Amino acid sequence: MSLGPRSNLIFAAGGDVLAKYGTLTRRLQIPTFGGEGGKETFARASVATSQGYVTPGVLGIVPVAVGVPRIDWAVDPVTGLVQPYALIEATATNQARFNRDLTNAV
Amino acid sequence: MPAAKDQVGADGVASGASSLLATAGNATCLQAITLASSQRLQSAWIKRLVGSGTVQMTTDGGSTWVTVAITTAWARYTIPAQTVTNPSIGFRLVTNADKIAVDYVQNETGPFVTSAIANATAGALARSSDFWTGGWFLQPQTLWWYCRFLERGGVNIGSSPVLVIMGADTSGFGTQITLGTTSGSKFILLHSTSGPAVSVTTATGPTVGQVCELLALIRADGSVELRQSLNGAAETTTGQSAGLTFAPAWTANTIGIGTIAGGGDSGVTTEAFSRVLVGLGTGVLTVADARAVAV
Repeated sequence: MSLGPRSNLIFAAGGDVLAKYGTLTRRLQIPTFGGEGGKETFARASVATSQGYVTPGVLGIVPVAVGVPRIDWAVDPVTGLVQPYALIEATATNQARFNRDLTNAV
Repeated sequence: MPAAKDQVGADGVASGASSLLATAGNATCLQAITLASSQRLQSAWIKRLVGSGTVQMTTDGGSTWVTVAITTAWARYTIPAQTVTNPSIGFRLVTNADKIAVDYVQNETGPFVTSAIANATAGALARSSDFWTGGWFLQPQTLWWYCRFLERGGVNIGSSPVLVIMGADTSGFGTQITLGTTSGSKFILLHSTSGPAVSVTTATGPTVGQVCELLALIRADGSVELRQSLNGAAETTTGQSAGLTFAPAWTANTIGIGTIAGGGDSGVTTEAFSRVLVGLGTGVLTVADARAVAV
């Protein structure tokens, strides 16, 4: 992370940070204050999914384990490019049962 | 109509998804759900296997059929949300002998779709909230925050979730600066000292699918200003609030992205962040300035 004299950036997080550094969070400050070692604390009590590459060049659904942050690959409507995003979601409930096996639909 | 679990799924797994084959015109596949009246959003991953006829989805047992323009590649389709008691969800193939693949059928509360929830059970299945927090280290002072995210519906959540919060306790209270949502699908920037507070609110907010950029300015006199750009358009500003003397310390040395520190479902947003930046001083004063900052 560059610490420009103009912006005085001290913290960065999100998909752009992941794309550049391979981590979701970067914090620039002297180590005494938890600087470069700073890392997010993440929690999610259930498994989940995100949109990612299931084969090269093909976006689909990828499973994400309990407690693991999610990276969602999506087309940016401004740039037109597929890029990673850090996905944060509130809880949701799927009422559709056996939702991948329609032999159980009724 | 006949169904088989015989398709490579949207996750690339063999036999992960199902196929539906029309053995007559207007063939249907429906699942009845016992549920109190609520706004329901219906979605599914679909691709065409055979034929070219009309494919439709329903939330209300076929009283309303909505055509989805599917292709031969997996894609997710949604139909407009409906307020329904005991929804009956499913598909209709208008043309005999047409065949489609279906995966990750989802029926959830609210006006917007969220990430796919795989449910292999005979009941409803919940996905838990994401909680992202971290330690902070500097006392209240002149700051700027910049968020760039894909609007996924969080601005419409009635419990007014946060985008970025600094300094609050685990309940979301205390000496803090909060950038969050507020009623009317707008954003609010709040500087609070556990008593006196100042805030500003945007005139509008994004719609689902737009790129939203927000720049929060916390100035030397403790006043706040919020600047917004939607899909790269010219930025707008709330103007500057009244001043507020900085407290000597935060209530808690934490920063939360999309959630209050310590978690709490009511504080969690639903957004996809490409950037959350925090800087000191007044070197960044516009969204255009913030875009130019290299991470």
